[in-house]
Amino acid sequence: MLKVGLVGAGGIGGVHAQAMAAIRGARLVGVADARVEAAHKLGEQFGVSHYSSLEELVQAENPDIIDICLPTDLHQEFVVRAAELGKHVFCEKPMARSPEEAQQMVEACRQAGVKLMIGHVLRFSPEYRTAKQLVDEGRLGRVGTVRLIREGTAPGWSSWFGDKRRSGGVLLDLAIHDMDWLRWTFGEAERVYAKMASVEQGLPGDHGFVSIRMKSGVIAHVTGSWAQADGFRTFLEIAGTGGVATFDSANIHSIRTTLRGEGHPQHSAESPLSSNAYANELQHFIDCVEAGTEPLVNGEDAAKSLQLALAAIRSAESGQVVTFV
Amino acid sequence: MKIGIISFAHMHAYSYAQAIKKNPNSEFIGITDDDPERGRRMADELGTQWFERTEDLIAAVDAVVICSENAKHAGYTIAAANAGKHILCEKPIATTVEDGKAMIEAAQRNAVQLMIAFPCRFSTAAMRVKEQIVSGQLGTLVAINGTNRGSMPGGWFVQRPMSGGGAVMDHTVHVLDMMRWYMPGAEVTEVYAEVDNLFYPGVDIDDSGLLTFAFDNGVIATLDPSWSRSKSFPVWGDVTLDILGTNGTSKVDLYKQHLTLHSDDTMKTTEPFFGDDPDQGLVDHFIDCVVNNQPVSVNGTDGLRAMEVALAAYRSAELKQPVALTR
Repeated sequence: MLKVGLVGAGGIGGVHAQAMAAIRGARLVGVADARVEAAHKLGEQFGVSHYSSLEELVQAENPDIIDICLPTDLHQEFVVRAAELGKHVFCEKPMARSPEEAQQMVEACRQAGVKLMIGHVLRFSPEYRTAKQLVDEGRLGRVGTVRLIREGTAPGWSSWFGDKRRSGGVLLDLAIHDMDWLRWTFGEAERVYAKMASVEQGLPGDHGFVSIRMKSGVIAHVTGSWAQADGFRTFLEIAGTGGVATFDSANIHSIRTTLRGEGHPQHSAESPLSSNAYANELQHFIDCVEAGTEPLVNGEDAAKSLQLALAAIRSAESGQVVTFV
Repeated sequence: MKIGIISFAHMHAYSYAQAIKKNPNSEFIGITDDDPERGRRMADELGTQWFERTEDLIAAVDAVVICSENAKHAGYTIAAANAGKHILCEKPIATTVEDGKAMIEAAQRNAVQLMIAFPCRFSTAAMRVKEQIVSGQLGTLVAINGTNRGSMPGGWFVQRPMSGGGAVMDHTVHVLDMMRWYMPGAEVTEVYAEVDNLFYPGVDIDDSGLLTFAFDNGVIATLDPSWSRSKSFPVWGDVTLDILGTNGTSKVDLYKQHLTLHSDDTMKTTEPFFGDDPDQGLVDHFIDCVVNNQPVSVNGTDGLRAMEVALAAYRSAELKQPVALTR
């Protein structure tokens, strides 16, 4: 039974802790966060000890794996520290704030002989896996255009998302999901052009459009938004010479419930699955550590998704097309 | 008001003919067509007169509806204008800026109306969104994400000398016109485009693209004009706009109002539309404006502005760089 130590007791840390409950071959042994209150609360919720630092956690619990769920600007430092302590590392996306940081993370893990996986969770999400499978099986013929939308309200749960220096903004933090899926499914990008609007334009958060030409010829459009008035939605459309496949998260609910409630009806909608994408990605990493195999999203791979997202940001900021060699 | 149709090269002519017949203030005088077989057949089918010579049809009417190949719009429009007849011309206005300007100039010189057929402006759903925008409900507009996908039409649409371009020429102008309509006075200042032939390799014209625009009011926008709907797709295509304002969003799908039909006859699922017919509103507006001597709401300049953006998209794709629009 592998032992997993969680670093970062914020929103996504809670999601990972929850997902760990269903993992085979590993268990959560402790939570560390410099914000001791948050660490305490999450540790208590999942019945594990809490610590104020990675080193304390490692010393007390000696985990095999460190799961980094910290703000993006802290990824490099903590992944390197965990690797130097000889721990396999799972790190949330986006991998880092710069290609240099990503390179240092890859290098540190290589030198320490530990595995590194980045949490590009769409690769473990059943709808995106199925979409890729349709492409791979040739069910759509040769693919020409792809549209991807990921849109929601401004992330109000934690202030660091709104700080571009920390999160990189919506293109790095959110739209990178779709850019990674694009790379996974269609290979590398040839050139990128992007437009952004944000709080300066009176929006509640960032809103970006990204035009990506893949080396394969595919023309892709990615929308990433933190500027919606409500809700969260993902959308996918792939058009090929042999067909069109679409997915809209607004229209996939297998259960819609309406209760009389106290005075006003209460509505809910669900699309239940036996295991969610976060559990799937963590299980994959555990299996890789156990079997000594390479994770589906290793550091080198995730670094390329990071470069694509950074290229989109550079294009939006400069107004120039960014071309990859 | 006496109306004739010049050419049935564009299939919208059929729908406009029906709309003319339904309008109480108009009289459908006849058809001329440089494909006499097609023209005679359509005149028969629609129960109207066939005119061998274009000038005879023009002489017999107060206004013409032009549904020829794009490259012939200018010739017919200028001929009708010089004869003092009003014109409703299918989009895009023309295939070159020079032709578009000559058409506008001819209409002005002869004091006739030149309207470009942008039926989306007459969609009940699109007009409702216009109301939302005008009322200020959405706040200040910031970003628009549009689609106008379709099926590959074939025929003269894929012959560049006749069409002026493929999917980008065919499908940029509708949504671009809607964006300009939703933001009166705003014009595109910059276009970036990916344009390619990805779906029909046997056809030597663009069938796919993605356009990114900047408007002079600061709004950013994108548009997918691709002929990307497969033969198996339930409908011909779509027109959608996701509009983002400072107070919220409005996402409009002009053809959402449909049933879903699973038919053993065709072994295909289709989506019969039950919404209002925008072509009737378009033709009614043209007739009203001519009869009451009011300016049409979608004129030649609107048509020209939309076509300029499509032409800039081709330049951008060739240069692989954003292109500034100056006029």
